[in-house]
Amino acid sequence: MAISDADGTPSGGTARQDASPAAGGKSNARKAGVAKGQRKPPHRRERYFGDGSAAAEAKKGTRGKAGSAAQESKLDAEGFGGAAEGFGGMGEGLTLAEDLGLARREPGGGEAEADWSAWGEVSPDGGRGTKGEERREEGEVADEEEEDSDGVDRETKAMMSKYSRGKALNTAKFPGRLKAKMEHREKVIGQGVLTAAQAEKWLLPSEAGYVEAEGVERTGNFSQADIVQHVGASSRRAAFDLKLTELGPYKAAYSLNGRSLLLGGRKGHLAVVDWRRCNVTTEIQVRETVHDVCFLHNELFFAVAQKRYTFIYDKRGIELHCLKNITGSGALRLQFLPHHFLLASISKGGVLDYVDTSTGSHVAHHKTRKGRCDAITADPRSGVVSLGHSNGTVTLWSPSMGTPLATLLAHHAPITAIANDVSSGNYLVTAGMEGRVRVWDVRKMREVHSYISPTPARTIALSQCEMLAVGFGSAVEVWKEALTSKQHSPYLKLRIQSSGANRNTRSGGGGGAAATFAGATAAAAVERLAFCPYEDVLGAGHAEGFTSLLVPGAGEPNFDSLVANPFETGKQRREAEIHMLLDKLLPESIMREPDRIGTLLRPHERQRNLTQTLVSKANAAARAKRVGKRPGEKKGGEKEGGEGGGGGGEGEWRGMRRMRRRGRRKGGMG
Amino acid sequence: MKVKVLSRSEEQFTRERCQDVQKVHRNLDPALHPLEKAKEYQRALNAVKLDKVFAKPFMGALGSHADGVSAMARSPTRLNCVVSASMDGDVRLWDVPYKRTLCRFTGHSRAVRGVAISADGDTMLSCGDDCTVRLWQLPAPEIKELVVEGGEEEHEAVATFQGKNAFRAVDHKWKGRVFATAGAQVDVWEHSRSDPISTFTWGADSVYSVRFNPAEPEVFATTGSDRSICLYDLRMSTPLRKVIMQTKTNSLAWNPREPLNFTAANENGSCYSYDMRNLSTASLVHKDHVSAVMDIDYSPTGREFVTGSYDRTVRIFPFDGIKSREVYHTKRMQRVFCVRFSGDGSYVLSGSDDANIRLWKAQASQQLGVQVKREKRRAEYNAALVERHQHLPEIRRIHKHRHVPRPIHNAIKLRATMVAAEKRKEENRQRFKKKSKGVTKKNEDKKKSERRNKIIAELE
Repeated sequence: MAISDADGTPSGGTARQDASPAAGGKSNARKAGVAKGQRKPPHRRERYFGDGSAAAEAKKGTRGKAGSAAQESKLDAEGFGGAAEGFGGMGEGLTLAEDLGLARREPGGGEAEADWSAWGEVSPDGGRGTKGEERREEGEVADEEEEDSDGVDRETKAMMSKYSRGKALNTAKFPGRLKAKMEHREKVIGQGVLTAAQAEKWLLPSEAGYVEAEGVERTGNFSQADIVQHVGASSRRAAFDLKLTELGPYKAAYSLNGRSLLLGGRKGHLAVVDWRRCNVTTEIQVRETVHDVCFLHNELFFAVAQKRYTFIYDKRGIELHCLKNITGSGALRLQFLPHHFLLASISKGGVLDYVDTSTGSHVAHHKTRKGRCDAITADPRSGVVSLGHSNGTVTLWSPSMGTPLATLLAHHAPITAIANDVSSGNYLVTAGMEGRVRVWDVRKMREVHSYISPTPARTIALSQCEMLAVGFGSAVEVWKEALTSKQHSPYLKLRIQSSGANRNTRSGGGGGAAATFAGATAAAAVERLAFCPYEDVLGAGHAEGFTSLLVPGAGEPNFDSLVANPFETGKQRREAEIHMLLDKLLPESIMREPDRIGTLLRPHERQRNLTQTLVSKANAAARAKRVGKRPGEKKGGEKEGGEGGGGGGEGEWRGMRRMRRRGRRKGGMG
Repeated sequence: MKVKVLSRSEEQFTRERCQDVQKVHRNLDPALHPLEKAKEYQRALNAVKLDKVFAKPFMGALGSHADGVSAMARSPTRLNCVVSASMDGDVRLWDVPYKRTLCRFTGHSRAVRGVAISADGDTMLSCGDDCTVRLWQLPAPEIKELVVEGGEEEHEAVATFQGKNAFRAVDHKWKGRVFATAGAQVDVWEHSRSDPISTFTWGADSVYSVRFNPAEPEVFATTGSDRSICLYDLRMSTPLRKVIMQTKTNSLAWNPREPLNFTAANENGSCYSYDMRNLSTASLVHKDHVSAVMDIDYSPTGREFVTGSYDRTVRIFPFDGIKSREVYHTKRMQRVFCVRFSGDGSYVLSGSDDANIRLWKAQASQQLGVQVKREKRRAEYNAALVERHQHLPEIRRIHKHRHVPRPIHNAIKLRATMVAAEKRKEENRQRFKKKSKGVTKKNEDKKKSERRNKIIAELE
């Protein structure tokens, strides 16, 4: 396998692309590099040492070749670690010219040697210490290739772009003292970025999961049973099936740290499950229709949209609050914004309400005037809530504005599901009744790709590693890297099995139901999909209960204990809660560009802002008049196909821009 | 088919025993830390508010004097040792942490105007309206042992120097056993001689204050009733140079870290920083007081100075800032006659007309006592946040806001109106000025900058 892979690989150029942040959709050099390396370690090894020895020949004659050959055999015997592969991957991308240039600059490579010694000492797992030692010897061959003039190896440099937030300032334009100040600041920031990048090697020991096809296989043809068969016993426990046939269909939600699972059956069955330990934390029957469930800031509290009101329960199932006078009656969907402690709910009448769950105050009450809506999602990067409406539009909302921040004609059919990209926050995925799933770039409000679901998607979900799961009928399609580039076949095609035949019954579950492994042929309609954070698990609530599916590569492999800790103790949870409350953001800080918070407006921008407010007011008035006609949407409707989907929204955007420009001109004159 | 699924064993990610430290895993990926700017802003806002919540600068009062406190001096060698003098001739040595008098120096029959402690910290000088300068021995042993429960020791002067006129100020050289007094003239004395070793006069009827340069021991400066600031060198028989200002200077202080620079406390409520090499222009004008500034003292770090004013407030200015960073006042504090920084730069002492010496924190919201490392880091982080966001309107508003008593608030407003009126008048004068033929750009009377316009003449 190793040899054939190595032969069939492209040139060094692509390898470099793999490692460069631009190529990876997540701009995550480490992931791209390591993941690839993981899958094709032999190829890496082959290419790296091939190149290394070639470079060494150019510089040092035969000695390098001999050394590298010896090294190869040593490492071969040991097997490759992830970090070493990353290193190898970087080595590939070098050209001979660069090699020679660097060799001229640093013939001894002393600095590099020091670097390698550090590598040897501070290795992430104890076993690699000796390897580091060996690498140091071998460093003579590789060091000149690896380091730039500033002593930072390229791997680190590639990682740095992930941590650098934007470009560095051009300090040349600042006068006198300010220049020195800004230069110092830039230096400090640069050092911070470098330290973060260097620390990444040691701080992030885990690697993302994967499914890999061999030979003529295709990952799309693997069934869940195949995957479950091939994983270890502990992972197998994550794939389970809760047979709850009577009170479904079930909504499912995971807590922020992925530890708890909240299930809400339509007929009033609520359960909180510590799914890793197969432990039911609480289980209640509210004897009312349950429309939606969601966890609040931790697994101790959850909100349930019931027949008339939204209720908040605690982990023992005790009703804490009934948001009677606050949320509009009959909320259909709930969305919690953890950084703002806001619970957004959209009701049958299309009223969007925001409730502050830390103070209990009613923050906002927006009438969407677009009728019934049961597609809601929130952008984790900004807190902007997106609603998908039955007229095919998506509206973006913040609590501080009574009109949408933006409107987008996404489909020519009612929108059935909507999901925000969790990691970068740049993408929005919508599914329409006409059977299309479209990916939007929310920065440009433009469609980037579209996919087809054979029947209209009921639910969609996005994972931390940008896996897209689309649920329609009883099928779940998982697409990998579907947001950044157009994919032609799904990564996995899964099917929710009906509970016809039980293979293995386990204790757990509630309401007299039994938990089983999937293993039957009949199908159950998917109701709600949710990726479990920090795990390769996709939870699917369906008509006959809940199924936990393994989707390798879905979850972020390395969690941050201070952000969300799947293994947190009670004390840690209490402390985290306090920190969350201290850092709680005001509802007014929700805006489409949250990075503008903490920056100053220049005087002309302030003027423009003022004008914009006036313009948007005028716009709103005009829109209110237009409601019957909807000319903007008609305009969008004229276009067809991939581009046309965004037409309406785009038209509206352009119109807005034009007006703003006009306003600006006016402001300038004033 | 190859499959790998994330699988974390609980043992690996949690501690083994309850005595172990909890394992913390970090992932600095920006994707996991959304809204970081907004959060940082929120933290800065919280930090600046907490700063206000914890701003309790008043530490206590040393209140045994029977009359207004006229002068203070701190020991260069001991942190807890401060000498103060009052208008009734009382001179006291204080144990500051315990807020008690250690001993009294009796002998002056009338108001004491100046006190100074010698560079070695062993002797103390006081001078006053009874035309004498008295030299005292400061108690040498550990101060705490010296205190007899319930009683204050009384000390007699070691030596008395008789002058012809009342003395207004005294300062000791930073090296050696020489000191200078100010009064009708400037006298320079030696500890062992009963007569002045030299005398300087240059115009002024009386000299109000004298301060030696901390770096160049022979150089000192005085301020006088002819509205002058005068520089002297002991190695020369005549004064070096002087600058005459529009209003008189009450006191001055040398910057201990940049000893070429000194700051003068002016009667008009402003302080003027000068470079002693160029007295034709002030290098900076520090404005915030609404009445005469009576005394000024630099922090040992040289980064800020404290001023006491006739408007009953104490202010702390950064050495390079035109506005004060802090203002201290209490209901009962009357006109402040003397201020001193403590030797470690973290406290400020003010002596006022109400016969009290008040002890203030130099950083109003500073947490006192031993801090654990975590607390220190937190304080540093908060300070950095505020510093970073200080230009944002909301944070600036909270950060800059200082409550001042109503009379001062009104006086500030009145002053602003007066300054605006003056400025407008000057602008109008410039605008409607007749352009006469002989006037070129060079000799037309241009509007002087604020740093110059209060300076009348520089004399050599």
